[in-house]
Amino acid sequence: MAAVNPGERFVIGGQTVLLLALYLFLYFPIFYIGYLSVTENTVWPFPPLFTGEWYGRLMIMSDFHTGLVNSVFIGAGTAVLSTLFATAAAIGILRYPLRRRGFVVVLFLAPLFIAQILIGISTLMFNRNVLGIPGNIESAIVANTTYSVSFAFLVILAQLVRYDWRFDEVAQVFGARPFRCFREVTFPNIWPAVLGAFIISFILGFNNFEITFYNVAAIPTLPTIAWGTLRHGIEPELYALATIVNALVFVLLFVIYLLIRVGALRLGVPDD
Amino acid sequence: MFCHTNVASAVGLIYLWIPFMLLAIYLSLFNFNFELLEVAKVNGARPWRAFLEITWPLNWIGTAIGIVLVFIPTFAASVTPRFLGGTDGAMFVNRLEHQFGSAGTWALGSAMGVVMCVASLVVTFMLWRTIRLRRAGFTGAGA
Repeated sequence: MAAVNPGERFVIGGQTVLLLALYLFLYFPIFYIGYLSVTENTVWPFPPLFTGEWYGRLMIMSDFHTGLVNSVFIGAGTAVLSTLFATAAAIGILRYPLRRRGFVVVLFLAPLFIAQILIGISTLMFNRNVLGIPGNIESAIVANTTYSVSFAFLVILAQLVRYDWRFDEVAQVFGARPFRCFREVTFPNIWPAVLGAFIISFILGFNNFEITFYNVAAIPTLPTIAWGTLRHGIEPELYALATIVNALVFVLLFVIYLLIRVGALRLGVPDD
Repeated sequence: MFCHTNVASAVGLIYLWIPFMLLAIYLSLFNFNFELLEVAKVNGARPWRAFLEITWPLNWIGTAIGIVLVFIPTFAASVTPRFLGGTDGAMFVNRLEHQFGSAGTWALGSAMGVVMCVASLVVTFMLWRTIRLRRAGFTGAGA
């Protein structure tokens, strides 16, 4: 990869302005809702009158507690399943010669090209009519996994492409069985990618509305609580809820950033 | 002013899916040899012309993938138009949901779902047939 003189790319003022505008467009709403969640006058919040009332009200909402627990459960379940499948798939595809490799990759990425709401509705219909399973948290986890596994797969693949499979061959020459080889050689080398995939699929499962909504029946999760509240008009508790969820996601993304920063994880960041 | 219109829906959807477009373009530029731009510059091309004649022809596929990747979820958006689109802003999926909800006509809803699914698959398949992923910079995955 050619090293581009970093100063050179920002000579043109237009690009800098565009970049700043994009960042503003993307991040202003997030900070604004965080600001709204701590002001008393939410209709026109200037000048600011700070208050913790909305968080207090949110904390005594019983739905919020069960919703938070359920969302974390769905996120964790999705993350575990997606990471397992994605790791196995990425290793299988890169390590072993397959005749229709490209096709298999496309099959793994196919859920990205299907509308989430279709995954949600069709999983619900299939579970209910064919398997006789009513909507519950577990089926929501499975449905979310079909979608998240594509992302996890992409993340792990991007990192594993650089992995030198001769390490594995060495281990096997010295008599390690495949599982031991994975545990002692492959995994210690690729764990940052696995952790990155875990975090990303956790966020996807935790935040998901369209798939989860159709599969959890009446069980509250944070996105479905937000949906239910929004239908009766926007209430200030929602700002607090959104801020908490955003903060959680930011923390997780910061972990990924740290992984990239220390060089443990390379999400397509070119190395010279 | 433009609250509760289709424009508001569009702005909301752009906000939601810009990161995916960025990801697709970034991945396509990932293996792009930036020395080519140096060559163009040495030969007297302005940045804009270098973009039009070198960067774009070699990397447009990333943008094409991004368009498909973003078009499908936008087509399938339901929450965004519901809250931002106002009373006339209902999109395809809002009608689809209606069939499974209060209307109770599941068969019609399923048909709408199949139409959407087939449309997505056709677009994806066309993309897969037309472009060579390796040339687009999506290398290494054996594609």
